[in-house]
Amino acid sequence: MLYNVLSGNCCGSSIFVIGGVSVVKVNGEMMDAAGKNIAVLLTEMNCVSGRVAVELNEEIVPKSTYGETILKDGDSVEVVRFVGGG
Amino acid sequence: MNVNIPTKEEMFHALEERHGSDFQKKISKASGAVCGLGGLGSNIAISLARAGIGRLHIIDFDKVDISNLNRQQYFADQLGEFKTKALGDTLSRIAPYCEIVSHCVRLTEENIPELLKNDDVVCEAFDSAEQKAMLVNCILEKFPEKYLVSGSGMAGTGSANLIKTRRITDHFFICGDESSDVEEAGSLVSARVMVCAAHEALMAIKIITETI
Repeated sequence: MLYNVLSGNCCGSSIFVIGGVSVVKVNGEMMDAAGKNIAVLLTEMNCVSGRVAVELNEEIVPKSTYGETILKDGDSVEVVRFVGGG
Repeated sequence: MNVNIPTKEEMFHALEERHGSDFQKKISKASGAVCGLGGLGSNIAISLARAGIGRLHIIDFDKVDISNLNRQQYFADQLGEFKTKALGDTLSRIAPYCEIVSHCVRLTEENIPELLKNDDVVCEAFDSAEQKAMLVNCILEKFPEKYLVSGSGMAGTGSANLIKTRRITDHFFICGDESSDVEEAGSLVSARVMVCAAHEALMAIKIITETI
């Protein structure tokens, strides 16, 4: 049985999810994204892959591996979206 | 023009008095790259030169255009000059003992590994989102040990307080509001671009003087 800490401390007590929900932290928010690959995650977030950098657990994910990098329970993902201007 | 510029020792001493000895020793030995010499890059380079960085690597392929003068650190009498030359001249007047290395070239995935291999800290200062993403991905993949500061989101006239420095990893920081795109905002205003450039320059200085 899985015990996942979802949101840390809330009013002094932790919230646990018991059972099958697997969560991934994406840009600081908990999402039910485990099992998806990075390419799918970016599509769901309406991101243009040529305008982002993706960090998985503090390490860069090479663009060439977006389609084969599968998110796991407990992963932390940071999607940096670039906008124009400089 | 006054040709009686201070000696190297006098310049170092003046900076040391203002910044502190430890700060000045560290920054005078550091090398920083500024990639793109537009509104962000020209201001970042000037801030780093004024802080007393030892080696400044400036890179851009473009020439100074009249449309740059609203926010970029060039003069009306420099129109048509390559930005590397025009900014290099200005930087040499500000910091005559800073080693300025310039490359008048468009950075690509192919030439980045060779061109940026000697820089401790890289400041991304391009204007297009795709170019920003290309440089950031390339540096993070090829040089995970380097420090990278990037700028994203400084268009329009939204509050300057929305522009922040955010740590992505120990080696990668992003400055800007991360949302105002020039295509949507329709403008790039010097005061707001300079806020973002100042965030990038200060982060680079903090990395050099407090981390490396």
